[in-house]
Amino acid sequence: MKYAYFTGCVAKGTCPELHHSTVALAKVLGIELWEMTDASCCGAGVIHDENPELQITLNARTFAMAEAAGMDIVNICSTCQQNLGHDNRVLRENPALLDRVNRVLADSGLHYSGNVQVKNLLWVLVSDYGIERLKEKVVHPLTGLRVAPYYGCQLLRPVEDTGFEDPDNPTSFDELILALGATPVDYPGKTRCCGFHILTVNENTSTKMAVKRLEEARDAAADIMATPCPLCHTSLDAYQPRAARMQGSGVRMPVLHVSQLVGLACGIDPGVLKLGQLMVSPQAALSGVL
Amino acid sequence: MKSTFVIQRYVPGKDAAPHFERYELDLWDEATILDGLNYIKDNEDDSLSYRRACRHAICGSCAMVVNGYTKLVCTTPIASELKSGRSEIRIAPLRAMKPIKDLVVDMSAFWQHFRDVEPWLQPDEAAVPGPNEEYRVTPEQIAASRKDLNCILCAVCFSDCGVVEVDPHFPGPPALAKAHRYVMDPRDDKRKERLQRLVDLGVWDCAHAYNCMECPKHVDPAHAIAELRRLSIEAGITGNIGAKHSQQFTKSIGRGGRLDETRLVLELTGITNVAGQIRNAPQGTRMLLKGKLPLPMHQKVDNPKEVHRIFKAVNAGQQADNQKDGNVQVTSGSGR
Amino acid sequence: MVNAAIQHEVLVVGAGLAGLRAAVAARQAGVDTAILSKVHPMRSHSGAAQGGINAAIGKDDNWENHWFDTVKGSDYLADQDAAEILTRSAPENIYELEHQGVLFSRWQDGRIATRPFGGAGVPRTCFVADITGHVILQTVYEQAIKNGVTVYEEFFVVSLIVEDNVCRGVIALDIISGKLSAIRAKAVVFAMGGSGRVFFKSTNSLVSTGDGVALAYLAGAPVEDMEFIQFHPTTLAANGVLITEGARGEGAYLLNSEGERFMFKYAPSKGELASRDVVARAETTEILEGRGVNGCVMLDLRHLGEARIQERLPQIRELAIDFAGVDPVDSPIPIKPGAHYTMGGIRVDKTCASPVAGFFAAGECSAVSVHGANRLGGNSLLETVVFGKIAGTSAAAYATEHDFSAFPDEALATQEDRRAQLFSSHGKEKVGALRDAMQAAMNAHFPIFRCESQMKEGIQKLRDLRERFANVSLDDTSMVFNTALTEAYELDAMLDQAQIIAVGALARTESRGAHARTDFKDRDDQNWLKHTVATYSPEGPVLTYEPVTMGKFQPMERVY
Repeated sequence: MKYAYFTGCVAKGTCPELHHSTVALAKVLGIELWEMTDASCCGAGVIHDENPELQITLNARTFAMAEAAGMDIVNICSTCQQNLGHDNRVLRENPALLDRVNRVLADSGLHYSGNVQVKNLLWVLVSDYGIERLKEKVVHPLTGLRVAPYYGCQLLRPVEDTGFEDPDNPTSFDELILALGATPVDYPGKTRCCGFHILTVNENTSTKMAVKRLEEARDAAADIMATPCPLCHTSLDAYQPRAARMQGSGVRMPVLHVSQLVGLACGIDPGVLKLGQLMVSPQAALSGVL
Repeated sequence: MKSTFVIQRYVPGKDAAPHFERYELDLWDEATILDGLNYIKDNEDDSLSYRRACRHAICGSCAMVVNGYTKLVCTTPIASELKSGRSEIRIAPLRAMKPIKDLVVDMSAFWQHFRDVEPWLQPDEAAVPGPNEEYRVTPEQIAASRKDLNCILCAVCFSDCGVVEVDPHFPGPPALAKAHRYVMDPRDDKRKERLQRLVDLGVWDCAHAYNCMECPKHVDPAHAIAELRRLSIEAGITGNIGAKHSQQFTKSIGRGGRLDETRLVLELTGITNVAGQIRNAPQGTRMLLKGKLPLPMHQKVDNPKEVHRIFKAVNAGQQADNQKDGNVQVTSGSGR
Repeated sequence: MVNAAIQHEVLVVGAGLAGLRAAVAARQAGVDTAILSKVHPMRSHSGAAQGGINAAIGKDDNWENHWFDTVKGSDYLADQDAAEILTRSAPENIYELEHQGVLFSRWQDGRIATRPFGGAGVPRTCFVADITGHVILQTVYEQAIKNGVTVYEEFFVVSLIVEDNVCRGVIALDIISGKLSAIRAKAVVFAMGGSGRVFFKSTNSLVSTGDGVALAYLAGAPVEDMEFIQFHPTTLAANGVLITEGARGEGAYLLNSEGERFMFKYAPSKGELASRDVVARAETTEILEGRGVNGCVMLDLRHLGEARIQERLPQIRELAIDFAGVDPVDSPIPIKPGAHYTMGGIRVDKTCASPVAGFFAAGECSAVSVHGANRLGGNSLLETVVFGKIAGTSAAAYATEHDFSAFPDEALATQEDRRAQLFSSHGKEKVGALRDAMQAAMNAHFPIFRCESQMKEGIQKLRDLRERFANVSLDDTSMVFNTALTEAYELDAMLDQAQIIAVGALARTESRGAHARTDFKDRDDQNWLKHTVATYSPEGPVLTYEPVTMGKFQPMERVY
């Protein structure tokens, strides 16, 4: 299995532990990753808000590079998945637009024919790699660990852009957690928004949303939360102390990246997985399984 | 087909607080959840109260939260809710609005947000055609707001919206889609004023949760919101944090192809805004100690010049088109 | 004298298209105006209208053609002067709607497009895809907000107060709080919609219970031509949901079990686009004679192609998928006739005034009469705006020329007692069961093809149901949002209307328009070119007859 690895901006910036744990996990699982160091930001929907054509052209360049290398793209961020997935679909469905974009790419010697698939790491693990194969790699089952899967939003909706599973009844993350020997926890917030995208625009509202998600997981007796998205992670973990104080909440809930959670079950050392870079320490929560 | 309905009941005067009650049903295979509610009301307990009228998803009355997601119960088959191995159907009233009784909620805030966007045509009075003719509007011009016309003001998206859930000021997807309908109407003369008003009301507070994209009438409010933002920037309404964030973010990508997070936060706070920077200092320090505070300009793509070139080429292409026919933006979604 | 808790100069009851239009007109005339509606205005049944609104705006058309088509469509029972107003003012009303913001579908040149509809000589149905009623309703509601019209949302009118043939106001239940109030007005306009729910499996919403007709009747206002119930030809078998005539306007075929476009046997010239009563009877005949498919005939849109269906008929495509389990792009839709529209209603003149002073009516609950014995598709939406405006204007003029009248002291108490009686009853009858029985009786005894013995049996059943209603009890005796109570009020109103429909149908010994009898198969202009007028008496409706206002269109044989 070989993928063009789209890190996204945040995994190389404020969430370095995500990138490191992903690389470590891929190695253990035998997934070959070619890091797309020349691929630009997915636009995050933010460039799209101002200039959709600019965002789609930048992403078309990324697709063209992956296509030239003969690989599908794997990403480690829900917002990257959403934006790359959406733009890929729009390009495939609009030949006139694809044409226009390719004329711009031509000057770089690039061309996109629409043949690249874009997948999030969670999907790759559950579907391409497969639950059964993953189970075989689990050397350290996380027995007894109650994990609240935080699917969030952009990996599920809108369905026309994501299409991996039913947004009203997603199961992939729950299956993954079961495969690791842990116990998935159901809670109202698992597919509701963390507020990251308005963190700089309206911090009060954003942190209210984040705290709600954390409290919902706590009230469902989760030991930890896990998320496939570094933006959600930043909102829920890196900003947790600030958000909790702002909203007068005493919640304290460790939040892991998917790569870290799976990595632990596959026997990778917590140091290599950079668990120490998490703002809210998972040590106590994981003490039962490590 | 058997099913169990677990319904949130609350009869003021009788109940101290909302609570759930169970009903066992055995209805025909194609029965909808509304059929189930009607059955309970007609045969078991006529105090069960809920709003309903057309029963074919055009009046917008019957939105409720079903198994955690807001739906129109008249077009939700019981069978589809039981498909995923569920044994019961939990029905609760719309979120973000106070229950008056059972599944009936106080929608006054919802209707107020609707009124706040001034949802009526505001033409240039001098340009109104005479009594025996219409404005000439081409099918292409109508296409821009065609999806907005589908909105039945059912509040499904309002109830599921993550921002509405916590922020009573946020107008919500229905009001914003309605605003979009008028912004895109070629006969309306108040585009810039509307866009300014929408910025003031909070069009930049949408967090891209995309719950509204599950709209039962395919209104796709999130796309409308994105377009309103784009148009507001185009109209020069950029002195607000939302537009600044968008512009600074884009500029950052334009420099190195990757986001310079630290610099973005510093710029948005305001480089000279000492109070603001001090306020952010504790968070910044925490991030720094965890190795999560990258230096400004820490990352770029291998060939930033290629990114610069794309920025230039796209902008040049758009300027050329604008000179030709005034409006050529790639909009998102299938043909919106 | 009771000082009524609330008073307005003009009170409109019903916030669908006709009501909203009336209120805006009254407000624009400078009069203090309020609307009461038992549902939020946007939930009104006007929103369910799909296919379009008629107006002779085409270059090759003129309003006199529309006038003729309307009168012919009515099987010559329409008052021709009223039909003239409807059709002559249609174009200017369409343009007014368009100026107010309705985004009508367009031709390429930017002009308002038209599509063919049943019974029209020339395509003149303006439309917004297949959501015409919904878009016009939203626009007119927005205009009401813009014009500052006061709306009492979720107020249920339980009684029309008339004394000495002067309308005084209404008694209304605030559904949310449960408070009954006297509301005084100089002029009251009823725009409370149709009575489709008297039948089983109607296209109508669950709130189309015709309260206005019953309340007017009980207050002494005459109601007219109630026996003429339009059965729309294309409704879904599962639940009666409407599939617009616009589908046939776009070119869809009606096929029987032999794959035959059978309509040409019954309407050699117009085929599928004959007037609705003709099509409904044709379908029923095919089904009864064994050429149906599971009690339906098939509406075939496949040849239109996905692009056109998605552009012009997207809503009905979804409805077919949701409720009939077929995608019209790939399969024909099984359909059958279903109760749809009430041609009759509160008898009013061309100014929308009833014989009761200060009491007006517009829209489906009224009979001006523009539809006579059968309504053309696209004329109902038109009627709401044309006569809604007229009613509002008339009501405003009346209010300007009159003072408030005294409101009878005991009116509120009477309604309080009525409710108390329902709350304290321990009777064994339930509203749901009685309603089902009434609807079944109407379907069985007053369907598309009627005959004397069947109708007499039906009348007896309705009498029994009326007696049983006296023993209705409610589980819910709470104050807040008591929908058991409002449904009981609605059933009470429907039983009255069912009775009026029934006796009118039995008495009319001819077939005309939507009233078809197997025992009197022909139209009888000699004896029956007249309106049925029903007036309340404690023993039941008293029928009298009033002449039709004729005009230049003499009754001819009606062929399509």
